[in-house]
Amino acid sequence: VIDQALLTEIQYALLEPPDGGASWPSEIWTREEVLDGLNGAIRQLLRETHLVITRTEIPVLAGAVSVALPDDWIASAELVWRAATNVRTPLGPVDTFGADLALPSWETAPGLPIGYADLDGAVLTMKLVPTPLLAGTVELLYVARPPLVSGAGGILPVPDEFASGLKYNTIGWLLSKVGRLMDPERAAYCDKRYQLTQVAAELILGGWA
Amino acid sequence: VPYTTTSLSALKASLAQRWDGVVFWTPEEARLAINEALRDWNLLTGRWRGKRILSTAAPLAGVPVVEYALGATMTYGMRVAMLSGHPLHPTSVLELDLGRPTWRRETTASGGSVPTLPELWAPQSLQRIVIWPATATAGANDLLIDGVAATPVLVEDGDLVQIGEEIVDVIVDFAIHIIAFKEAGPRWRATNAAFQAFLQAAAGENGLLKANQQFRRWAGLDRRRDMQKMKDAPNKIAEVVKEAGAGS
Repeated sequence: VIDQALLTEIQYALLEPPDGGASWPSEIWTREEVLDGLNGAIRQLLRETHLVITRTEIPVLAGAVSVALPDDWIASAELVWRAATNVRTPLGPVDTFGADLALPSWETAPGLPIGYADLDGAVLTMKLVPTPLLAGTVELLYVARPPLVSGAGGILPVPDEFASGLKYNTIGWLLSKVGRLMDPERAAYCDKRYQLTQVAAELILGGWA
Repeated sequence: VPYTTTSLSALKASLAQRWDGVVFWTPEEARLAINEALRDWNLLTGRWRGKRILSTAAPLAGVPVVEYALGATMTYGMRVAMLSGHPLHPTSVLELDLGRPTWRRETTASGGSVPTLPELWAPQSLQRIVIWPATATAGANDLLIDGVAATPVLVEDGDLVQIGEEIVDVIVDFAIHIIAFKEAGPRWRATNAAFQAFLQAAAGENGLLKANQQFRRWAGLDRRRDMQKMKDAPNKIAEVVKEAGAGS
């Protein structure tokens, strides 16, 4: 689905003249506002479901206390520590509070990393727990910030089947605006439609564990 | 399931027949709503399937290759098998990490308890899977993936789509519900039953949906709470008020 087609669907649902999202003559919403809602919906779906992930490898020096994450990082999906001997160790998500309690020496006594803390340090950095004794590589699968949808005919960064989730998330956000067309009933319905897409994504990606 | 080939024009005509009076949508709105209903059906049930063949890789610089991208033509994978017909069993990355932490470094040549053919696969994201154990040598076109293909998009009136006869009604009713959204109020609310029917039909085709508690509530499949009276249920306060009223 291209962005203009989805914007047209949104225009039909909001009784605006359909023109690929170019104009919103009711003046209840601006074009920028709608695009902002759609981009927010895309980011939310990708962040919450890990629908589309990107792979990269980050070389890490021995004793590194902080590892830089990619500039377009939104969320970590899966990390693996690969030692120079090519032995791989899966890393689990931790926070520094948990690491301090479970392994008080994790910063002072380097060892083989078994976890990563990517949410409570400086922005776009993470810490390995414990600090790596030897140099190695982090194999990182992460949710990358999607390219901004501009309404110029670009392809949405999710498969077509997930477009309805984006449509209703955007409409729900627009109908929640305090104004003449505020509609809590239909906004709540839109939330449900978005959650339906989210549940489907979780079932598809959940595997069979 | 008897399959039938239906054209966009037939679906549009069916849509119009279901409305008593002058229709409140344009032909283009009808087309978009039918396409939306089809893509939602494919999301929930994986109705339209496709096949993809991948080549396995030998370890790269000593690192076993466990991850494979399915490509953009497949929405997500559902079954993986070797070219020889040997099926891989589905699992999850979490289960592999917890049950066999060493799985990423193992190949079909590792020996010991490691199988000599890939035995397990797990989804990593929509269009990326992992296999265990990794292959020790490269194999051309030896991994067959059955998965869900992109939903057909109907553009011209003569465009055809293959769907089971029993779900044509569900799809058309749901399309009316989609169109009626713009009307809000009683007209839209009157079509909510079509949404429920759509969800229930999807749950009938997808056992995973049926097992999901949140989905069951939306689809009206969780009827246990109906057995407990929520409105005007007898309670202590009502009894006290009643007794006080009788005494005065």
